[in-house]
Amino acid sequence: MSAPQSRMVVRPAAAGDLDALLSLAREAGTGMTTFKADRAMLAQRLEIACSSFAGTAGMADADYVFVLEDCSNGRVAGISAIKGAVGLDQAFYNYRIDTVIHASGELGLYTRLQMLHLSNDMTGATELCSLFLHPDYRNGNNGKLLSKARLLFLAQFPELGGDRVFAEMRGYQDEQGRSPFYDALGRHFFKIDFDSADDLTSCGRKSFIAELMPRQPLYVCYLPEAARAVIGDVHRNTVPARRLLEQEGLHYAGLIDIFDAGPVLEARLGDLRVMRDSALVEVGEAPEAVPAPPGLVCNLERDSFRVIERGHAGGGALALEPWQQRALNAQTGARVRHYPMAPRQGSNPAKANRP
Amino acid sequence: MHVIRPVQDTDLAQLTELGELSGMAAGRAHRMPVGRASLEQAVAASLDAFAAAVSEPGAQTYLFVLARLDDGTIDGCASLQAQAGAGSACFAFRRHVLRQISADLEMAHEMRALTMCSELSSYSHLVGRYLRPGMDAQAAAMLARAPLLYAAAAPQRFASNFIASFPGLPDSPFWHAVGRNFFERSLEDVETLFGGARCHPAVVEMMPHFPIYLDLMPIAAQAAVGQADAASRPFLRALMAEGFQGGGYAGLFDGGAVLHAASADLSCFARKTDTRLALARDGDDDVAHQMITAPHEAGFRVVLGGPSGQVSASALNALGLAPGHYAACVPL
Repeated sequence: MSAPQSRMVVRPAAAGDLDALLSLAREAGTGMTTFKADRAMLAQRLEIACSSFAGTAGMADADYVFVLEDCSNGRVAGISAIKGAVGLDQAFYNYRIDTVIHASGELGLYTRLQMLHLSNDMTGATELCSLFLHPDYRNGNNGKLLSKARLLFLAQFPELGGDRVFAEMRGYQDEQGRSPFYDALGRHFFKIDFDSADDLTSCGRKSFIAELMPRQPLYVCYLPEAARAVIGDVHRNTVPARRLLEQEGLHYAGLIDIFDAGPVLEARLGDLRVMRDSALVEVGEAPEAVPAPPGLVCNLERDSFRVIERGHAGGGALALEPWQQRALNAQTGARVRHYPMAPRQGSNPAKANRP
Repeated sequence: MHVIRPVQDTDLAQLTELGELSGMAAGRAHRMPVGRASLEQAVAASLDAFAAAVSEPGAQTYLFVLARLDDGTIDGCASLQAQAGAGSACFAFRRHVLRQISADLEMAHEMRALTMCSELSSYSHLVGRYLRPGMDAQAAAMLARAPLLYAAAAPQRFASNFIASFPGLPDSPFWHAVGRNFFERSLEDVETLFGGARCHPAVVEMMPHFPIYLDLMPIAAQAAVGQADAASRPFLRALMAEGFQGGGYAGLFDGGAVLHAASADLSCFARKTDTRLALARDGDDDVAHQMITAPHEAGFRVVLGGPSGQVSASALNALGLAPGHYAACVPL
């Protein structure tokens, strides 16, 4: 268990994190598509991450993998990642839900229906993925730090992201781990169970999706009620993550996962709350200790990017304790970016951005 | 024993009764016309069709009745449309298979699919059969197949391809799985709206625009595709024996069976032989083996007879022929 005042920092993953990440992946189990406990895969991923932070990775490959480190003991407590641009080498698929009207004015008939269309709309978009926090560290603001650190990275380096950002939320599964949507649809086409299909995509073997999945648009009314009911619903364990991202300005706009119908939360890069609410501030002496609302602070380095939890009461310089200055590699006079943890009063981007 | 002949206007009263006996509402697809007004219209149209000098198929519908040789009681009727689309379009589902392969996974799947089509519009169309309850299989076979002998006698009036439509299962699960979602009404209401037609442009506007994966439907809906209601099954069997094939098409709303054939596949065209007629003796096998028709277009009649052209006196009389005359015969 981490002590409430643990010294946590988010930083780029390094080659030396391989063993720690492997054991973290095992802890994560089968729940995560983009973080499998495979040594070779993880080693390769770390290599790509290093070149991404160094600025030498190609656009189609850029994969910014972050770890949450406990400074007091060096332990790797969590992982999160940003894929710079998806779908540029292998197609990235979703279903898009469309509304269609079938009508005959002459006979006074009018019916409103929903259809599922296969879509590659997220091609080139930036994906927030691979989020996992060790159970021992699930307290305080560790989860928020690990997740939102990625948004600070995008705020500081917007040129590394596409014009859109998204995250695929895990879809609904019942107590037995079954997906009613997959059972009604995908199973007929892929002939393998849900976990196997998931596994294949996480290993990068995605060509089977294009080859086997239904090419014809589908009317949602063809699916049984149990499947229709879960379209756009998240797994119960994913509800907090959904809320967090919606607070950050991402929203569900009708794109879903092709296997489990989990919602894609998306936003234009410029509409992310971090773009509006984060600001550059100078490290320095602060006046009397003023109670500051929770916040995050990051440095401005790409390959040695660091994020810690630190509030700022506003106006003037930001004071950092010695360990924080070391963690951020930012001393007095240096500029850092600060981001309040909670939205400003009356500005909920999730509501503002909903179509 | 019966004769198949074109409808006459003196048949109107009996047909009206027969329609009431069928218990069907007026204006239902694939069923005999019901109600005095519809029947008057159908009889008039049929008289015009038979009388017209037609050189190629158009919007003609030929109505035939099954009448008893002894007292002329009408026990059934059936229609033959020169063109299923009757001047516009006839919509149905084409049944087919979509196959996809993944070389990577060494896996393939075949999904049965249904796609709305209008390619049957130019086919000639056997439809609207009704047979009084209690009639035997031979009467059903005669009613279903004999109109084709008219097509064989007057090929210029018809297409070289034929379909036969059947009402599907009552309260069809297929309707509930598909059509009902698009109309948001009962099938009864929709039939009333369309007056039993399948060629209204609203059909295209309302029905699904993309192929349906049949294998995603509830099992009951899948099973309903290509089915005929109980009363129609003797006709279906007879037309399969005639040379029609199933499995190619299905009704748009209830998924009912739609059989298809090229005329070359049909007995009434390909297995017709000229046979010398003889008077059947008492004690001859009562079971009829053949349909027998006078070999010309005018005065079209069909009766049943024995394997070597034996016919009863009343049947001969109905044909307007005598023993020793030749007639076209088709095995049942």
